[in-house]
Amino acid sequence: MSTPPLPSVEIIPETSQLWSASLQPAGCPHCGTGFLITGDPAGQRCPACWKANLAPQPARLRPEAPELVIPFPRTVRDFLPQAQKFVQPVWLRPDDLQAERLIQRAVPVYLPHWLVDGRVKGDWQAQVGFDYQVQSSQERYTGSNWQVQKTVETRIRWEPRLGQIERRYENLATPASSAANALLQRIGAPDPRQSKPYQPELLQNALVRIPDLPPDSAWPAARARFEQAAAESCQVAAGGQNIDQFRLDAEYHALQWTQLLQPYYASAYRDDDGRLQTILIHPFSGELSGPRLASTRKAWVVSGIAILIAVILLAIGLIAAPLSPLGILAIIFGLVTAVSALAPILWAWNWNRHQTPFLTADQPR
Amino acid sequence: MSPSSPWNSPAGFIPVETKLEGITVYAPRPPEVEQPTASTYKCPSCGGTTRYEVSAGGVACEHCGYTQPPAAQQVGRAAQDFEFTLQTVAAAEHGWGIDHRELLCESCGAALAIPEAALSITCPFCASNRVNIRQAPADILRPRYLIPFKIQPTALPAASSAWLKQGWFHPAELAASAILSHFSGIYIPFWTFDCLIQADWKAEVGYERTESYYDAADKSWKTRTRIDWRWEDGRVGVQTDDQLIPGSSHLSWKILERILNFNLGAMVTYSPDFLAGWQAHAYDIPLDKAWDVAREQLRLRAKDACYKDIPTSHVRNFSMVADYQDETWRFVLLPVYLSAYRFQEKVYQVMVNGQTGAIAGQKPVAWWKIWLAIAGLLSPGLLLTLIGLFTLILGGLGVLPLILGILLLAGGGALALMIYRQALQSEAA
Repeated sequence: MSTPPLPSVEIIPETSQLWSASLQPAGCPHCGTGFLITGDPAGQRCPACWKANLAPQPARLRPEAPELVIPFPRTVRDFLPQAQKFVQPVWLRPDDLQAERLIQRAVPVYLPHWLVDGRVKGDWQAQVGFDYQVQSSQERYTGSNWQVQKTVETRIRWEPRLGQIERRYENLATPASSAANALLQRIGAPDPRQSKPYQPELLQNALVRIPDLPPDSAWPAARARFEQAAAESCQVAAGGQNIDQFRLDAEYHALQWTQLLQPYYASAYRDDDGRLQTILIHPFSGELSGPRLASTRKAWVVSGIAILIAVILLAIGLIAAPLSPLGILAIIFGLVTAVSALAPILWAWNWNRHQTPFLTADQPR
Repeated sequence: MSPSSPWNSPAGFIPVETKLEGITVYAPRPPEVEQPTASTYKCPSCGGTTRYEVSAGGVACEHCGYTQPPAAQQVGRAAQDFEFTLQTVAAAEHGWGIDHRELLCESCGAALAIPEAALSITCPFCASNRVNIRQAPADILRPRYLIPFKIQPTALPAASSAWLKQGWFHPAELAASAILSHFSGIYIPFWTFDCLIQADWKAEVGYERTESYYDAADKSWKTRTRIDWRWEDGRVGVQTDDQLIPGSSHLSWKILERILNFNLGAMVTYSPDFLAGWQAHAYDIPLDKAWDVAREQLRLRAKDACYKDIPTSHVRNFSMVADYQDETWRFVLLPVYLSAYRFQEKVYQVMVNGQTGAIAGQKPVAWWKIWLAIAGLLSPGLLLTLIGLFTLILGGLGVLPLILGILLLAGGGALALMIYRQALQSEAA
């Protein structure tokens, strides 16, 4: 089985008109992620790493416009309630972790996918599973009476099947960006049914990630999608309800590569150390995902104040009137406050322990 | 669109229906199922009638001595079993149908009416043996395994005569006058069931505790036993292999269950050769009814196992849930000899296990012997009790004989009851 002929990418110089729109290629000097941006990239923070501003640079990509675009269904401002819900559980949050700021900072970004059409021709074999039902029983004994309950279980009978396949598949989506796997875990796989044919207006004010997986790099994943689609077809053809151990020895013909753009919002906030932490906003549900770090600095301050109060109370208790009821009360409150002073630090440490930083393949770690 | 290049399917695979254009589907070639046809057993050497001979272990001709071993292999307990698929259970309900009830004898041309349950017949006109496994609604519902006859018919009169002589409460003239000369060898249909029962039980379990207390009336310290009750639960697994349930309603289950010591390890694949010259019946108790009967027995076993799991004998508010798992079944034919004899104008049935020789049946009871034995067992106790009562009334030392008399009466009564039940069972069909 040889790799079929695949389309190549071209170098698009700076300040070019692309896809019938005034799109300019730009890149992040820190993480190297490339974007297509409308207008001047100056001042636009890189929505992949948030560590540098984008700068004009040439790009390597297919010159044809995307075939399909999934438009942003709502504006990011609609998701303010979701952002508030996202921020609210963080007790000692950094000053910058605020719902309003996350929404303000949100940037609409399009994630590219390859849409591959092609004809699969070859031999297949698999274990096909056929559902069947068996009768079983459960008997209950209470108070010298037996109650019989008949139950029905569904089991799978696996049988070998093989044959030939010659079918055409269209619009099989496969990632065109190395960051796709990490992003798709948060925003889900694209649903081509929500897409529209490409129009330049759909990209207004949005950034488009430049595919860093050209067709020759994306081909293994695309072939896996073809095999997955073929497995589903062979299962249907064999009349089974399940399929396993599917093997396909096929050739791929008439491959056509176009693009699908999937939307998401990227936002960020500054943590204690001034680093920008990436937050993603689902374009349909508005669900936010990303690390919500607590401010350990604030935790230390709160703990420090509590310790100061504890010291004052203990001092009052011990020096002023050690044997009086007021003195004993002050010592007890002082001790309780001293112990409680650990709580903010411990809480912040434990909370941050469970936050996973958002990393994509193109972000320096 | 269809695959255009020529393609040779691998050996053992055949094309099957595809439900999607552009894809061909090949499946393993199903094993060829021989459609049951009526077989006539004629000797290829001399043309005489052949039959399965126990002594020869194959189909033999009594005229010229021709012998042919049956085309079967021993599978034992490894014989294939089947799941309770809804399809099979539904098919089994239809039984074997009532078609093909008439056969033409290939030897003499006589039209033979076959009893509905019979699978084999001997032509009464020319003595030809024919085996006719009729079309069952599902292939798996035909007998696939059987245990061949091992006990020779010639050994049966002596064995049955010895059996008739056993036991003291039968008429003395039984062994001399009853004649058990004709035994019919019949393959009886049986269902065998395997399953695992996971039984979860819950009960109040009582633990004995001895405590001391002060008896104010006696003004002394005494001990007494108290029971502390607490709720407990547990789980017991009961594995059942080859639970045998007859598939024929025409036989006495009371007699049959006493000769069920079959060794299923000797099970062989079905071959009509084994049935040549012998009778064989199809089932008339369908699979689900037989499984209901089996479960009635199994649930009691599971309940006993739960009770054994409880460390004391004090149990109350017992409840359990028996969950049946991995239920499978087989349909087999097992060899049984049937006979009957007349004694004092009554007919009594006898059955012999065709593999092990175990024998059981009805035997008349000399009831005067039973009543005499019961009287003998009860009278010492009764007499001693009366003496004790009498002396007690007269003011003598009657307590000791009274207690002894009651104990003897109770012991004698238990023995008498056992003998009476044995006698009833001996006559029961």
